[in-house]
Amino acid sequence: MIFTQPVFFLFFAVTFGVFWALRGERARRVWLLVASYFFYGYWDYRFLALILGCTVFDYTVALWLPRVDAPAKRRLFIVASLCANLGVLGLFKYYNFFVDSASELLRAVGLPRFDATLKLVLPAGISFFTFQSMSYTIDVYRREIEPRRNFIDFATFIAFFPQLVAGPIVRAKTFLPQFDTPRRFADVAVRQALYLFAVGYFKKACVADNIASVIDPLFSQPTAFHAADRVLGAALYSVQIYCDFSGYTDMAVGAAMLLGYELAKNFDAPYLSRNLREFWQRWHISLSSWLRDYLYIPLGGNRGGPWGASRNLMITMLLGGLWHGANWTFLLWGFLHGLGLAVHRLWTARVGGGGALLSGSPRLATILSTAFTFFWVAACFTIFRCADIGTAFRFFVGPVARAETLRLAPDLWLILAFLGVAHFLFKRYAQDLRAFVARVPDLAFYPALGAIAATLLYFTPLSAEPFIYFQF
Amino acid sequence: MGFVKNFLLTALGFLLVILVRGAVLPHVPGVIETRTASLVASRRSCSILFLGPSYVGNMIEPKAFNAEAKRIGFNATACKYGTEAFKGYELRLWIERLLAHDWPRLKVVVIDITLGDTIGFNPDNWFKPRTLEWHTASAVPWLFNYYRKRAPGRAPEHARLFVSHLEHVAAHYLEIGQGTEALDRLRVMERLVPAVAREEPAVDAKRSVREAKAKKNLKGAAYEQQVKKLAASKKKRAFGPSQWPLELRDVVRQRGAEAYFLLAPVLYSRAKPSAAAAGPDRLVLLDFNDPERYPELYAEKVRGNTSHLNRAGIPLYSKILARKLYRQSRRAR
Repeated sequence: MIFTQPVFFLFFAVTFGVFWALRGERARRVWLLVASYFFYGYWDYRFLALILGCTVFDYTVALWLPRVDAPAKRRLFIVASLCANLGVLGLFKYYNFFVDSASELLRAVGLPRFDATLKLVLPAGISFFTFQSMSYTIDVYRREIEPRRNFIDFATFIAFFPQLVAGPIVRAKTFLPQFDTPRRFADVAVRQALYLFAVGYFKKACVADNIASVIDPLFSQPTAFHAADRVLGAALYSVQIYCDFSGYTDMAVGAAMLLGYELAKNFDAPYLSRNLREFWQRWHISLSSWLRDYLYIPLGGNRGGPWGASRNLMITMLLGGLWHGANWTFLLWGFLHGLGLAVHRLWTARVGGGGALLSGSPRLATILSTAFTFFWVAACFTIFRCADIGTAFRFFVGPVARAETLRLAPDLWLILAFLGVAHFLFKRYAQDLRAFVARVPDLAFYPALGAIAATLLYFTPLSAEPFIYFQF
Repeated sequence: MGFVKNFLLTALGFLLVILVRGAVLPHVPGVIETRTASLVASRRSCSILFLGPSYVGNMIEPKAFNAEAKRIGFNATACKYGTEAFKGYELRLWIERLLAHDWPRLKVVVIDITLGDTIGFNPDNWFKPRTLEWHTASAVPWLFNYYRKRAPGRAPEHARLFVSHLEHVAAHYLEIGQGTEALDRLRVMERLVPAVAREEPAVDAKRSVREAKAKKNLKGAAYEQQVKKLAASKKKRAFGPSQWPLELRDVVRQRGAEAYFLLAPVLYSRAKPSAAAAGPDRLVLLDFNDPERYPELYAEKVRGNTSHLNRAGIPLYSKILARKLYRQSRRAR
């Protein structure tokens, strides 16, 4: 069930109606859990056992943790939770990759190959809910939060359908307290929620899905296209993945708002970043902050000087790359981001940042550093998008043109420029737009919303593309 | 109260846009609408209607049929409605839709049942323009009955499929995606389309295309062997279910015509409905799925591929059909 499909609208209408019709908070939460499990089971009901298993295990571990004082025993509990979550993740997501890679390695050194791969279907959103569950037990272990005694609350936190399969990754300390205060429909910012949902729908269905149909052939046969079109395709893919993922997040935040809950912000105009460090403060914020808090800082963080911090950055980004999936392209993507972040850190420590070179012209410095950051990010996303390292290699070093070279429509450059300007303007005027949405009278807002909805549907491609991040 | 008011205001804006769009933008008919309109326009002279998948759409030529009918003194005029992968039970809806019009001369509906008794609702075809066009409000009760009657053990799967059908119906009326299609029609992205269409398949895809072509385009000894295999399997006289063709026949008879059934000259073996074997009111089955009875339709020179006849085979098949139906009409008298 994808947010842009009619069946989701039907599902949400029922969930929303029953949720607000119920009187007690307890009944509402039970209903939310039932709806969330239905949403998840709609993909494949067998996955319900997995999410329920992870939930019960971490719920139990977290309940036991405060009762144990001995550090060794506490460590044992938290290691058990980490092993369970990472074990599930490893089995479904990485087992075949590592077995296959080991087998290839043996073949490369002249030894016989073996096939011990398993036929496993990757459960949707497994990386999201396992990370969410892990952060909960770690926070309880660190005594930053108290364990939640009510199982329904905890299970709803893990399975909350708006963010279940593609984030944002929610932290227990910010989300669970919302269960402690009664939700009132009068407090819901309905207009803001609908506005967010419509913006997200536009990004996902009208921009990302339409771009997908244009550039998918280019990524399957990069060398069949002219080099200039490969550059265009790389830039368009960066737009697609941003609109796909941030569009999903906007819809998730909007849907959660309509049910009276707040989700964390996940994107903040990332392509306006002036360097990679800033980019990671604006892109997939819930994952980057998760990696910072539960990986980078425990590794030593900024301690150990620029080189120590760079090493920690590299490890974090490599694992961040691997989080996306079992493919060498994701590892290379993580490596290049780690490298970029490390170089930026060392450069800043020595020279004082890119702006220092053009201190007399800050605007030019901003434009150049923003363009360079986008160039690096787009190049990394190109590797991320390619099916394998070989295809990525051909994408970058393939011939400029061949006798029968294919070309993309030149109009696409204009569309790209338009989207770039829209990205800039939207960031600049986002506050004003939100204020305007809050100010407009009902008689204008709701018919306009209906008109916009009809227009959005009109420009939605016929086949709904699954969200890119569903596979992660 | 405020919630209801806001909902109604939203619906008003939504409907207004759809109405204004419908009034301002020209209507562009889809494939089904075009084919149906052309058939309905020719219905006054039509006495034999062929209905079925591409074996009707691509392999029967009404002109050749009519010419042969005239030559042998058979007073019949043929027309056809054929669409790719148009399968058995789905035909029922189309018989109902098409025969709802007035057909003053119609005597026989020849239904090609080669593809069997299912509906062609494969996920590969979901949200394709033709699939979307098919899903109108009139299809909903029909679909409901179709799934209700089928394998109760597969109820969850059928429920899920039925929800997908409803999504298609919603998408049909909400005109989802028509804007992108309209842009295509306005040729805004014209230069893009040929670029993408000319894309070369990847190496693996090339191999599978080659293999599929080889399987479809059997030549020489391999072709002969396939024909022999088919002939041998036909001797085993396999019979399949006949309830659904009987239902189709009832629908046709209710509209004052007679229903005959057709197994096309394909190179794979198809089971006959058991009701065609015996009984006072047995099904009339024109079984061309038999190389020994129709060797001319299985000669390599008239075959386009495993499933279809080529340009030389199409008039040949149409003429044989005319003669066969003539004999059948005399027998019926």
